[in-house]
Amino acid sequence: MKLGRGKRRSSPEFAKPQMTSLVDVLTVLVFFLLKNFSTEGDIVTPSKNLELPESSSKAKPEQMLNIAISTNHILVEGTPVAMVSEEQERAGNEIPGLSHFLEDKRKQTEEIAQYDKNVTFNGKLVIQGDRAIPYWLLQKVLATCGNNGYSSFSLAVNKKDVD
Amino acid sequence: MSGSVSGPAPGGKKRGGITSKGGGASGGAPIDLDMTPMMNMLIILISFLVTMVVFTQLAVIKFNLPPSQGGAGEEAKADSSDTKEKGPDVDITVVISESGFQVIGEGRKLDPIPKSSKGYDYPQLGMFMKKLKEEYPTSDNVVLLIDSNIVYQDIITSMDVMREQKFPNILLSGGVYQ
Repeated sequence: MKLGRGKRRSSPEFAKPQMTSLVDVLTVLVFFLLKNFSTEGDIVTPSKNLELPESSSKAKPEQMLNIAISTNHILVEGTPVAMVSEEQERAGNEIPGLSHFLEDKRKQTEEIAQYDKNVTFNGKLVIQGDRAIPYWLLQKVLATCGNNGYSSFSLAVNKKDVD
Repeated sequence: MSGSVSGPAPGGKKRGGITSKGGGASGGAPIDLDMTPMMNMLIILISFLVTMVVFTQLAVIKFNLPPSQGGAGEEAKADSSDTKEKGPDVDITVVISESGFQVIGEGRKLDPIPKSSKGYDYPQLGMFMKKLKEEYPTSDNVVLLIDSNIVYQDIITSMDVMREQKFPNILLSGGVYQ
């Protein structure tokens, strides 16, 4: 207050903005963003047009084959392999489109593994399911993956704030 | 970029660097700090962080199928009748159906937990599981027997409840889809 008045008296044509509050706001914002900032980057890219369920799980995602189940499609690595409406009609646990894709993928990995010792087929998958999908769909996907040698699953979820 | 260029110009006009106030040579005149560089830095930092920030943090729930070598029909998930091979553990099965939860363990049934108008009664399920954990502290396994129309979010929340009550091994049971 004192500063402002003194300034105005000496040179009335310049209004001096009150910086303190602005700096406060910006500093708080910086701390907030720094807290949310993760240096890891996106290991699992969340698929568009599906809402992941919320969970209190804390486990970190890893890089692995990515299956997205939305309410309409099943996508592997962004490539649509099956339609949900068709699968609903089909009896049995196998999803042929997904099955073919996974089989190819596994053969590819195993072929690479012959030449590169660092690559092994570990059967890991991350499944991003929309929160509204029914269990039969998830079950079909899991069964198909299991039949093709993928047996280690990670269900992607949105971290719920519990703290 | 534009911030750093245009920033100092108006600031410089108003107050260049550290200026002493009032013009008077009186001792203890308040010093006006130049905030402009700091503001520039903060604004650039904020714009940087805003572009990088991830507002939804991803996590995963891990679970494994029993290891299986090829062969059709290995249903991957343990069927509720196949879970007897776990040795000393008790079999605790939680049935999730449209009407609510039902905890079944060691041949006895606990009271069903009905679904209310607001959805499933997770706290009640948590209390049941806590009691079971006290009764059988060595048991880690829970089989979830899920109706085929149960929504994914409810499954995940139920799994959360199990994990919070220290039943880390969650098995999903499944039949053949018809």
